[in-house]
Amino acid sequence: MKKIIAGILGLFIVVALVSGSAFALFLSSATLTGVTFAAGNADLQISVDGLGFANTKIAPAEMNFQNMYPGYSATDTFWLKNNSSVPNMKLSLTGKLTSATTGLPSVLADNIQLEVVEIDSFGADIPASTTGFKTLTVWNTTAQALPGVDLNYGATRQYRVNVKIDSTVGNDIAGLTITGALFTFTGTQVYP
Amino acid sequence: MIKKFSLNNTPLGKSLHIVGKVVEWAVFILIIFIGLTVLSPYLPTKNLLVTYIVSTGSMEPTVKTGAIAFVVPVKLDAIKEGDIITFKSPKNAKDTILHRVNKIVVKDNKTVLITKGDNNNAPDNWEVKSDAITGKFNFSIPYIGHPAALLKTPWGFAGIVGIPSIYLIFLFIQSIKQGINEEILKKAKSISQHQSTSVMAIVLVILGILSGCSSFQLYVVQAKYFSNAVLQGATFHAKDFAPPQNPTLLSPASNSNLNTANLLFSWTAEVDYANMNNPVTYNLTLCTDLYCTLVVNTWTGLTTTLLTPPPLPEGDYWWKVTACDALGNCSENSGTRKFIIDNTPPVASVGIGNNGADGTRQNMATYPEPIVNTPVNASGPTHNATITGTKNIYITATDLYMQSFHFRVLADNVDEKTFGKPTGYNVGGYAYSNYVADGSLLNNGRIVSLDTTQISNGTYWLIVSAVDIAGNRSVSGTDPYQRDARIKVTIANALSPTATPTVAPTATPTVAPTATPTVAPTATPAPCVPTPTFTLSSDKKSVSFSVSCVEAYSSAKYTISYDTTTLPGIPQGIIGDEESTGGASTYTKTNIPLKTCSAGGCIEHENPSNLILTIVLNPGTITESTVTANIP
Repeated sequence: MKKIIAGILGLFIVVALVSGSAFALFLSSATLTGVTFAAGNADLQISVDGLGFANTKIAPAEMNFQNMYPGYSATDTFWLKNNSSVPNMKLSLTGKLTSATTGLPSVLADNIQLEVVEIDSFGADIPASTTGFKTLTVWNTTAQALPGVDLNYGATRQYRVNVKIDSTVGNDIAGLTITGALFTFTGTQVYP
Repeated sequence: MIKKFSLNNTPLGKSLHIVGKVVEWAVFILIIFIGLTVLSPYLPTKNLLVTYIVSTGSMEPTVKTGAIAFVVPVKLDAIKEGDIITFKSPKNAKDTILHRVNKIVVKDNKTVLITKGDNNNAPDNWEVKSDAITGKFNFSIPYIGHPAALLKTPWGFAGIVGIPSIYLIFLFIQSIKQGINEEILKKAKSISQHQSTSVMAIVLVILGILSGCSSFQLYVVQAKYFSNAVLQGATFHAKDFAPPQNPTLLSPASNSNLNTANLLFSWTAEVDYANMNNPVTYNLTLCTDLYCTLVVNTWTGLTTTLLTPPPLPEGDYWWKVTACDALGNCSENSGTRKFIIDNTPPVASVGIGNNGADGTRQNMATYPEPIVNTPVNASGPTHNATITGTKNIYITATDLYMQSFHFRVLADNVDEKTFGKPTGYNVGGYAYSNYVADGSLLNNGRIVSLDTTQISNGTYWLIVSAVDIAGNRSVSGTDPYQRDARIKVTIANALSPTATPTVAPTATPTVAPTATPTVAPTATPAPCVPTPTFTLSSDKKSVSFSVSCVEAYSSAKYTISYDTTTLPGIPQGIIGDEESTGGASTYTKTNIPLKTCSAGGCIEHENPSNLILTIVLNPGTITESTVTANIP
């Protein structure tokens, strides 16, 4: 009789355990929706011509913004590529003006405005997909999220850099220079 | 009797039985281990040890992807650089991150951790605060996170939980079946395998209770990936776009009237902003409208602050100057300033009226011949007239922008055609001025009462010359008096009758005449004639005068006219108020400044010359008299 009772009880418990576990694992809202494993490495690369990608690139001549003045505006493009070795790894992207050889004289950095605009596959700006114009001081203080969705594994995206100085800026900036500006773009893994 | 064959009794059967037992217990242990692992955060041991499944590889090779990481709770004080910690992601609190402490910094009096994955080429772009830290990595077991993670998939759950459970259910059913058989056979037979099934059942009961009491969580830790891409060497250079300051216009003054010959532009000198790109040059634009849409001429690249333009026709002009640095940055402009070119001299006329009525006017347009000699008032003496006593002389001058006009009586020893400065200049001291401030006066005239009795009989020219605001004088050529309006008159006052000696009639004396004592005639004292002295101060900025013998006059009024290099070609004048002499013998004025004043201030006149003092002494007990004195 003991075996019969123990067997029935064990049978009931096993069914209950499996059912409960299944419910907890698949239906509970508190449960993570899935676990995937990402082995390998993230690798965000930059290009100034859309061809040669590397972790570090020297700014092209177009990013040497010379002879600026109130009312000045200029533009250039660059590319970022998710070259990660982790399949399916997406990267969220930010950019920051990390440093400059000459430092950042506030008189000038407060008046030069820079925005990064996403460019679509046809080479056209996506007006709504932009960081908006922010001063170099802001770019130096806080990393700015680059526009666009997370960069897919293996994907390349083109960005346009727009630089301007408001025409209302006074003479204080005349003759000032910021050289060796270092822009760091960071790709952060997005789960998985 | 056939003996029933039993595989259990064969060597193969025994081997299979042992293998089955091993598999059975391995599955059982695996289920227990996974259960304990995934339930560790809810077990009483959670304060001692927590396990995480490592889902990503940014901490490789230290922590492999798919490993189970064992983490112990830790306080901030116990963390040092180089430790591997778990923390809630600053970007998303639902994520738990497993990274190494790269640097410990104090920011705003709070300790924050800078972390980095061993496999990342860049530090994390966040700062980890103390309240986000969940533990310190202790050790990890590689690969076994994979089956734990498989629980989340249907196939994984079926394989890891479902199939073993079915197997256990089969065993339980078999156990129930055997129990029924045993009850039927009333035979007790101990089977160790059934005991193990019961043990499994008990363990599973425990797991089931725990599972049912908890919200089954599967803790996953991420060793998050970061990667940096750097663009280096960008340059931002603001050129020298700042122009020099706007020059300030100096001359000609705003709204000034001037002859083109006197036009000289001048403005202030400027330097470049912050002296970046000197020298500064200037561009002068001359226009005929306020907004400079009608440009007459533009002079560029001027290196000095003076410009004498070519002669300009009459009209209204506006001008402005910009200053440019060596890079071509030019100031907006100096502001536009207006001036008026007036090259036309006034038209002056003079005539003799009768009792104040208008007389014939002879203007320069008619000079030299014929001199119009048609009196407006038929009774009025005109050109070549002979006048006596006091006559009204009507003088007038016409110009758009009149400033002053002068009346003079010149002696006859002047060549009528050339009118060099006559010796009889200002005979009688008749010099008058009138100034028209708004430049709108036309045909402004006045009547001068000419007392010819104060002038010796003879032939004279009555001359009027006028000067407008622009400095144009009613003359032309090199002789300033050549074309002044004039008429010739003859002053012929009756001379005092010469006493005719009366011849006494001859009488025959009857009586010898008595000698009558002769009375010597009383000598009449010579009259005291007012005599002026007129002096210019040593600095030539003021004059003084004194007139003696004025006790017989009741009041005096003086007029001083002169030329100055400050305003070349524009005669200046000072008219004093009529003052009582108070019976004094001397009328004196000292330090009369030679300057003109307006609301904008005073302008001292330099290098005065041709100073003419005229003092009219009004009658008191004797006839009005006028005295003059000159300083060349």
